[in-house]
Amino acid sequence: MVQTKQVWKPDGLQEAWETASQLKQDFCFVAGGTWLRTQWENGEHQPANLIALDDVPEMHASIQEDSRHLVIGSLTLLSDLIESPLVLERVPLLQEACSRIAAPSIRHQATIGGNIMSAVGDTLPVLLVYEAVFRWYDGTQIIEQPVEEWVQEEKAPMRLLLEIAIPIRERPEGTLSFFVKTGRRETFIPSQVTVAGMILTDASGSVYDAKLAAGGGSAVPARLHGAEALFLRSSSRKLFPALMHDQIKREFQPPGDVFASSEYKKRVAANLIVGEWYRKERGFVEAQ
Amino acid sequence: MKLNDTAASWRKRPDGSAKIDGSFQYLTDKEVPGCLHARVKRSGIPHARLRRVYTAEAEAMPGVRAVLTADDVPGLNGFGIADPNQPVFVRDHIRFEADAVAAVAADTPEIAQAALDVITIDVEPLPVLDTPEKALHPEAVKLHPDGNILHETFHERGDIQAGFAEAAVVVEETYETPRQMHVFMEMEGGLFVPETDGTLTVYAPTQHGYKDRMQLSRILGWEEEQIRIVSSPIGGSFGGKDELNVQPFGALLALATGQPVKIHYSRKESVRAGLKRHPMKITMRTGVDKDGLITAHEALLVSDTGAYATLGGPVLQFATEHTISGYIMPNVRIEGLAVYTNNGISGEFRGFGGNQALFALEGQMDRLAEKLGVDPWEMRRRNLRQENDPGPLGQRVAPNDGPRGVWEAVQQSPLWKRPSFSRDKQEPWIVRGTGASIAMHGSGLGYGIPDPAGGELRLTPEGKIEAAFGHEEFGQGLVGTLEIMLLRHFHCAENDLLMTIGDTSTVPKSGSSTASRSTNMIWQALEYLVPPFKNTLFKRASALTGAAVENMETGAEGIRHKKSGALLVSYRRLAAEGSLKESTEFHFPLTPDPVMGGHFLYGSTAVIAEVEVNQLTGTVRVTGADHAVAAGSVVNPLGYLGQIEGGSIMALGFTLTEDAVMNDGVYQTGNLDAYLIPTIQDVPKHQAVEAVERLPEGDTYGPRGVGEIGSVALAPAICEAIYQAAGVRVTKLPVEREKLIREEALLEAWMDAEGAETG
Repeated sequence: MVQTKQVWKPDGLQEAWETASQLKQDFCFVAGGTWLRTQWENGEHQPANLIALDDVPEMHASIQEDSRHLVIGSLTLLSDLIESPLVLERVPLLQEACSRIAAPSIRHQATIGGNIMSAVGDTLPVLLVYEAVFRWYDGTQIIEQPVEEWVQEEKAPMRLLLEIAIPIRERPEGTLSFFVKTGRRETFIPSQVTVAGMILTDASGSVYDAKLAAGGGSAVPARLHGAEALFLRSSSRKLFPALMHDQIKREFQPPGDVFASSEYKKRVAANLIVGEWYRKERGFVEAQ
Repeated sequence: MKLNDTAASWRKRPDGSAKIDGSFQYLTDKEVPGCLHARVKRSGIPHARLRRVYTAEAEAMPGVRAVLTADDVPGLNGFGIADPNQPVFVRDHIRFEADAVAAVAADTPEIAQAALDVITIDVEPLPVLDTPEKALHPEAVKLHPDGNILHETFHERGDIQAGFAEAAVVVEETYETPRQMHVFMEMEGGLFVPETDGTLTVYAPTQHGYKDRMQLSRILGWEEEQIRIVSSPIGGSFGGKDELNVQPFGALLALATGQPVKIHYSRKESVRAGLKRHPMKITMRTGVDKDGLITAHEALLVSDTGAYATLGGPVLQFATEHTISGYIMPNVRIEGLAVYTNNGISGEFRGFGGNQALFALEGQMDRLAEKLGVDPWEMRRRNLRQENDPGPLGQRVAPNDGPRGVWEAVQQSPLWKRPSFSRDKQEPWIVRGTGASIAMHGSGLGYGIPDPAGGELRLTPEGKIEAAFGHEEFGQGLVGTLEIMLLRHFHCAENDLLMTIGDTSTVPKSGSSTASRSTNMIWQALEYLVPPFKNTLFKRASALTGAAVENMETGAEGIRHKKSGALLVSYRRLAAEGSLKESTEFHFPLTPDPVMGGHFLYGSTAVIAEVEVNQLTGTVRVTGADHAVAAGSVVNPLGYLGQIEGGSIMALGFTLTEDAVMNDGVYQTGNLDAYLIPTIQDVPKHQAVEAVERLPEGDTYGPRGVGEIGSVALAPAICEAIYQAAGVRVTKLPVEREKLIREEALLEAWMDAEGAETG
């Protein structure tokens, strides 16, 4: 096991960038460090250099609202997101997702930036559904990138995640929004299947907007565009659950692992999404 | 006694507060200035010929004080309670991925780790025998000189063919159980101190200090008396620290360097190197007549015992007996095989093979009752033993009506009144069910295994009544229970007592703290020790005060007048009259019949479980698990309840989530983020525990231990509840969600709802 030899503490974005550029290799940026710690414990390479981001002022831990977005600093702690009234009001699914990650002691240290950079974090399906935008520093400037584009990137270039901007949308009465995470026990678990969704209906009950995403385990979180399209073609009274079920299973492609097959995960994702719609239709979900 | 409702009689355990506030000092917290740190180099490959171990580079590293291999073991290069066939260091045959090839002592843990990284081995890989089937193949490499079978059991009575011919209904099924891990909070470790007088002191948790002393003396080539073992307190064991673990490495390195050596496994190392519960595959065929009476019962048990013996033989023996349990069966044929493989070592674990056997046996009872169309609980009653029936293997046993007692008592549980099946109205894919099971569980080691016990009562010069036992405190509450028993005998104050355990320099031999035996052994020892001890105290008091012995009783501070309660003479004053010591040695009560592994004393339990199955995901939640337990009188209600609840939750994990998965002889669940034990969210909010204290008239054996019985019978109750809820028969643990997920439940609900709206 290689021990970390140095922890670098840059106090500005440019300095952080230059430190990384000079080190070239065998380094890792670190915020809360909870995910890294787990990986090292599981035998992943522990780099000789850690670049701590705590003192970089451009990387903040605040939750703010402008006219069109809720802007969350990448260093914001999961526990702060859970407790934020603004998050609860504007993006309640994010609050729910954060509260289902790990255990309280970890949530007090882990950041949303870290959860995102793990590439399999539970916040990602929710951010996909909210169509969030990431604001990166690429060494020279700040660039914006939709989350969906980022999750599809094969190999991302070095960048620092500064903020997550989530468009603020009205959720008319009758909107169905949900986040469901499943694992091999009730809590403090890695996700096996995570689904999130937001489905908007008009006064007649017809769907006019649908956003669905699934992830979990080592699956790359993904929007389910085909299933969304199927929802858009359905009025609430004419949704064909079996068709929807098949569509989700076709579209969601999670890898199997030691504990669950890919087929099982597909079935769970389909069951959970169709089940949520069933609950809404029977009036068992509170309209948001 | 309803244990949940007896809060008034609960006594705070003496070690409770410090364990809660974290100030409690375990043996693995010990460190002395200048002590070295040890690490063990593992093979990292499950099966190979070992050609050479290269240690030169490690030896040359600054700060490395010793590097030991098989050549450096002065005595026997092997350990194992029953058969010492696990090498301290492998010489030529690597049999599992955590086989030790070398050990290092260095100035810091980091240097020791760095030294391990430069120790390399030259090996010739061999085919990995990762299942008993592969290991039993005639051409499989022999893992040990006698082949790949550690132990075989066989029990036959009656005429099995005739029994099946009489049967109205026959059920045959194969049941599989997981490789469960003990997950004690304190990982294996210890401190090893070479003393100036040439002796060695070992501070390392174990369930049997004297056994460790014997095993270490064999390895070191020393006399036992040259070694002192301090073995308690222990941060959990559940059987997992019964066998030697770090002790050979710590002891050898301390002697090689002449310096104190500390070693403490990480969780990852504990997972790989430590014992697990035996995975078993049990094929059972059982027949009942038209009245539901068992006519024939046949079973084949195959256990994966892993690379080395430890107690794999006795565990199989126990499982064999418990495939019969508390039922009367005229025609029986049971065969068992414990098979060596290249998997992690299986060994002793709370329940000791009973858990696996009962999952199969009780599964049979539920399937048979259903097939015959009778109530499963009623069918069990018809087959249960009567008070004076022989034991499971036909041996004579202490009269025992425990099974009937718990059969009745568990029906007091509120869960008994719940429907055996119900469906959630709002979420129709959530279905609920209940199931029950019953078991008899042997205490003590059984016929054929030495099972000695003993203890001492002493009056210390300071006037304390000292009780000394070779038993260990690993969290089960032994010290608290001992204190209660002593207070009942002496009616003295707590500070008149001194309880001494877990140190071979101060305690007598009491046998091991296993097999639900400690409470019973202490109770019996005190029955022998207290009368003569009191007698001597009274005689001394009489000589000093002139008071009559018959007017005396023991009390706070000293001997008191029976009627007035006035203090006649203090214990301290009595101690000044000279030393006072009473000792006893005896054997655990044994059946007079020479039936290998057969027990004489048993506890009984009945369990009812309620589950909720979510068919969208196949998730099972246990919403209730109530126990009735018959084990004689309750000495310590808090400890008793704790044992049953704790055992029950461990069994919940065994049933639903726990499995140390191995692929090709390599653990896939390296840590507690993949090996999942239940959290507080996974367990029922309330668990009712009812103690049936009644013992047959004339029973003199005292309270039976309850350390294991909470863990043995929950799995089959949960599985029957799952069947009632979801209609799926579980044959393999942990329960596979893939077998319970059912999208039709959702689609049917949809159709029903649409139908209801349009209809």
